[in-house]
Amino acid sequence: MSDSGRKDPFRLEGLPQQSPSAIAAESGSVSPGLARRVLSVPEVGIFIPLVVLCLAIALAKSVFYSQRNIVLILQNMSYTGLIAVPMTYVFVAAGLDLSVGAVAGLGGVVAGLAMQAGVPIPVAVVLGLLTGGVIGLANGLVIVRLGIPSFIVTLGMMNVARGIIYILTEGEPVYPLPTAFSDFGNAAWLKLPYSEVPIPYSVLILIAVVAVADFVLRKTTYGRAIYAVGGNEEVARLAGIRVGLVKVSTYLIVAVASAGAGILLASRLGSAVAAAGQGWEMLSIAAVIIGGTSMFGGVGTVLGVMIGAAIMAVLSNGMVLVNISPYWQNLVLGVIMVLAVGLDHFRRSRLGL
Amino acid sequence: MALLRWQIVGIALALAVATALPIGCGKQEADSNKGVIWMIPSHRAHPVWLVGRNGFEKACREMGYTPKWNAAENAELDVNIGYVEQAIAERAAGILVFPYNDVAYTQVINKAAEAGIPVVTIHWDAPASKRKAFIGPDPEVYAVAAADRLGELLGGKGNVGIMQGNFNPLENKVARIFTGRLARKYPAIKVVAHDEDTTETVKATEKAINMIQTHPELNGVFSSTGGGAVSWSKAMEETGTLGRIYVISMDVTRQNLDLVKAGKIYGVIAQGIYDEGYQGVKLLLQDSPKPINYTDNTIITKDLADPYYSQCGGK
Repeated sequence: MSDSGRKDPFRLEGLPQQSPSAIAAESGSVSPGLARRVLSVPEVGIFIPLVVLCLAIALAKSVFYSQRNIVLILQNMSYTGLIAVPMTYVFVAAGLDLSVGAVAGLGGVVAGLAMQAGVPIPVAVVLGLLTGGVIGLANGLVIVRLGIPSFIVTLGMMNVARGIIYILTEGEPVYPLPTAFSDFGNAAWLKLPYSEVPIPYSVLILIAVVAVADFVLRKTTYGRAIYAVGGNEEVARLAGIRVGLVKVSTYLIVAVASAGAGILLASRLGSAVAAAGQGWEMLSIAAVIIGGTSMFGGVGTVLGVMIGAAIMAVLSNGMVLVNISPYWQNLVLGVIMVLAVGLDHFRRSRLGL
Repeated sequence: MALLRWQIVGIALALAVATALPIGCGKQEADSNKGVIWMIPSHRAHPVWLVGRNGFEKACREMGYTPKWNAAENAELDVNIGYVEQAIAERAAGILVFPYNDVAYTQVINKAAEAGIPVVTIHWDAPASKRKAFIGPDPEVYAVAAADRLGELLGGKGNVGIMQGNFNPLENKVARIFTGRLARKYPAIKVVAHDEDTTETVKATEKAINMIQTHPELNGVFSSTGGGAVSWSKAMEETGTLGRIYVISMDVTRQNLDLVKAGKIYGVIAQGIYDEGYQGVKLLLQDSPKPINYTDNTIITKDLADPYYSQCGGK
């Protein structure tokens, strides 16, 4: 019986009336307390490998924790991070988007061409973002309305977007771009006290995007709807959630963010290049998976994905710092990725998460 | 709980070991007292750049510096620029860099120079940057030489194809100069096809086969990428056109030289990649080097190939 005296419809008769944690404690297999609470935090399992990696590299090479190197790591992860964060939404909604790298390149090229045609920089940037939006909308609508698997649709769109880049540019970089535009990409705005190295704009933008994306996913109705759609689409539909709209919106968001990342890269390089964004889809997906997001939907956090992106950025930076031959780097990256995810998988399965 | 704790600790330790082990295995050379010089070409595993690496490492050892060599897998621009930034963060003694998109590289080269790190550009220049010197081929010279040689071989009349690695500024310029020279000096020679082969060997061979099959009248090819000799020799073997098409490609590698000596390819343009690495280091360490330094532009034919084998590494 529940406290109110009514029969609890979810309680099975004849079974012990203890709480699960008390039962577990009695059996000796799990004990409650601070350790369990800490280990139950979703991101802990992936945070431990990051800390271990940082410590190991810092012990081998003290330049790792120099301000310049830390800022470099943050800058290097900012472009794929800007894509990995909204990619979390796609994955949590049980989707996949392989076109993000090509869309990043296309966003930069469209913005660059617009600037060359005399369009003011802010308008050109909006045009670049809109281009990404159109691609994302197309992805979402085809996947939802026609029921074609997201792998196929976004793989096709990856080739379409890259093809459009080559048609528009014929392989040549889009150059010159307005000085103000490339100055932005190479400038840094925030100088912390006692810091010799200011923080680049791309890092600040990433931090802002992470904060907003995390809040939306965890604290808003829309975010809960994404989890519901990814967890069980049919149940979500029966609960009144507009499943199609939620899914299309995730593809729209990731494509706009990808175009934004491409525009930022063009700003940093001072030109929009046809090959920009190549490989970014795999890097962002890797960050999402390492960060604990399920490939089957319904599970994942923005913070976890950021830790996943940080692991990859720290690894890439650290391997060069400690002088690992470039021919060993892929092997090391793969082994550590599997171990990092394995640790988190172990933690989840043993804690019943 | 104790079991879970030990399992997690065990995996964390495995992670630490997995991080530490490669520090022993597969490590590039230990840092010397004089400092570390970086070489950052476009591709990590392109055979042409491995020849450049040989020259680079030899020069570093002779001068008492530690060589450090890093590049992206597929010439990803942001990755390679990231390596230059990392060289700056690690306070390199000097940087050799191939700025295949000179606009994109100018900012980071200037950053290095302003941090007191000398930079020498190799293979393609970034003239607007604060680089110390440039060493590399003169595309005006070798593109003209390739056009003239094919013109002579074809007797002033024929059908030629151009195959670039990809549509980067350097190869685009080379293609323009080549085409222009043919049009002026050999107007009866037509450029009937122009494509990129992506530099991946299987794809490159397919593209070459495609060009041959689409243009059966083809009797000359200029491939402006280092892998062209391999892909074109394979394509001609598979289409039965060996001996029918004169192919001039690029770069000294062991395999390219073998193909030239075997008569499967007419010749390769030297480009002097080995010297870019070797002389590039020497230029870095000079106080006032000559700003522009051109390397070898010889078209290496069968009878000229033997001396170039010494530039190729082992394996």
